[in-house]
Amino acid sequence: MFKGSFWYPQTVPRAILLLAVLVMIPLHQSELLGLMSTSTLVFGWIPLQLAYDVTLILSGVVILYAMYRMAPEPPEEHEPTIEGGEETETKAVGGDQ
Amino acid sequence: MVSMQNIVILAITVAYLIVVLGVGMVAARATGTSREDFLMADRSFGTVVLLFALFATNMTAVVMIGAPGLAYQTGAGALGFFVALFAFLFPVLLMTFGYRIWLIGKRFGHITPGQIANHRWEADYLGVLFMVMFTIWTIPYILVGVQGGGIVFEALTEGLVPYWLGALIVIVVVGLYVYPGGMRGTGWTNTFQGMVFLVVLLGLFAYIALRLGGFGSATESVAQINDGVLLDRAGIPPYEPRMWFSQGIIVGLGGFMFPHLVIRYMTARSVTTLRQTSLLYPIAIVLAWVPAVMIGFWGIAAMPDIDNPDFILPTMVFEYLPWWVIGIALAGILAAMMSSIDGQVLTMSTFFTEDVVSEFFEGVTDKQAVWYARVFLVTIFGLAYVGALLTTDTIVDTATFAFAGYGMMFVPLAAAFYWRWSTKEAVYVGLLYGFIGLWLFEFGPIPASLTFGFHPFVPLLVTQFILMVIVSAVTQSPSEERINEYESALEDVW
Repeated sequence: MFKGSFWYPQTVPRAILLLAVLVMIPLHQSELLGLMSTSTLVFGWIPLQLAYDVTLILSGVVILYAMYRMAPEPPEEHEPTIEGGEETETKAVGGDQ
Repeated sequence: MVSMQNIVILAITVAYLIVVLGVGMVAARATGTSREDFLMADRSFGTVVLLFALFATNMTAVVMIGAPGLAYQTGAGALGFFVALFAFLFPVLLMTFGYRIWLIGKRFGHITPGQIANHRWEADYLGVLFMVMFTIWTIPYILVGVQGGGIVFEALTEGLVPYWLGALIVIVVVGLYVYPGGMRGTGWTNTFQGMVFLVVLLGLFAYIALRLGGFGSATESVAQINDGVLLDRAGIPPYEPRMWFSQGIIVGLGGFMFPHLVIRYMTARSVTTLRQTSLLYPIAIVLAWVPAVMIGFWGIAAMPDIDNPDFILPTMVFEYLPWWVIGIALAGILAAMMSSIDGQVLTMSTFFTEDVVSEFFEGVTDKQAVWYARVFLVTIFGLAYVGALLTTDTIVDTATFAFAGYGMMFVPLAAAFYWRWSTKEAVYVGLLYGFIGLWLFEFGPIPASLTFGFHPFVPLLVTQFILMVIVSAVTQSPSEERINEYESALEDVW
């Protein structure tokens, strides 16, 4: 049940991806990068602490995109069969592995 | 004396509420009488509706009132403290744990976490325990939303709509579209309201900055206070490294465990929908939180004498916006609050019918189940309204405590999907341990020194896991057949 999940990688690319996810937790601790006490303003109006936090979030989107691409392709039965408007999703995505 | 300005503000707000009701009514027409349709929208939400159903439901009074208030009190670290780690962990969990919840719900027809727990561990009462705990942590959160509605109405109409009437209006409007439209009603109105409050918030952000002399000037005014002490984290107690870490984990895990979100993971049309939603979610968080935090931050210099920090955003709106725009701002703020209350109340009524009525009363038809959900809905609304008239708590304090409560349910629920040898006894113990532990720290019998500078949530989470491992080791697992059912369903699933 745990083996085979994202949290128990069995290939090197998956292990690197998990590592990238876990590294985000210490990166959230901005004091590790010396930002605990800084009054620098980015673009003249954004406090550096806030700019760092936003950058962290947006960097996370890159990791999420890698997850999106590397996730195993869902079995056909998990995808919908009815087609329609916005509430319809018909195409499976991912499956690089 | 009622002024023309107040009448215009009120007219714009009423027009907005009528539009919201219209969207809810259209959704109600598309909703059938079956239990699956009313409670789960037939598991048909696509990416946009699911994104806003999750996002707008999550962006409560906390972002519109609490975030500016926190920034007003503590400075520029507010975003990182409260939401930066959540904005990443939540989509990661949605792609992994959320996918498993969606899949198991679809495979076995589960609607609530309680049903999953009872089925996974072959238990009779575990589902009720989940339901009771979810309800306990959610009620204060609903109260905050109703309370926020009352405050904003009163502040922005200069008392023309008093607090009690503002709170009542919020409840009645939400009730009018949730009652007939169920999950689809909340999903569609969340999409509409989510867009409204994002646009309004971005508009407020730009306009207030211009009124303060530009972005640079607005920030510079704050930077000049005490040598820029509020530009960083140093010397601000909640932003000490261990508490900063604690808050990130609490919001990351607790936010994922919001009952009104857990139930919505199961409304996704497909796993593709869940994944696309995960990708867009952090961007939506940035769009909502940066303006909210910056408005509160600029308020430090612009409006230095506000007693209750929660009032900074409405006060800035009232002070700096032209009077004819205030009605639009009020509608945007209400959008954030109503789109949370609807999901919370509908979820609680769903849990009640599924985990109590359907579980312990035999022969309940789909139609009766929907009717019970609606009766419970009205009851919750009544309780929320009375509570909102009585409560005095601040929004961020209430929210953090509720997040920690939800977070203590993370490991017990995750065990259903990731922990083969977990037992129902271990889950009972884990749930009760986390719940009681938090309250004991809150009321003082357990000294805060035992947390080593972390929020009590962190040591409780670690010891909860250890306790569950021990209890699982000495108690009987569910049948091999049941474990295999789940193992087979979750094969090759992240």
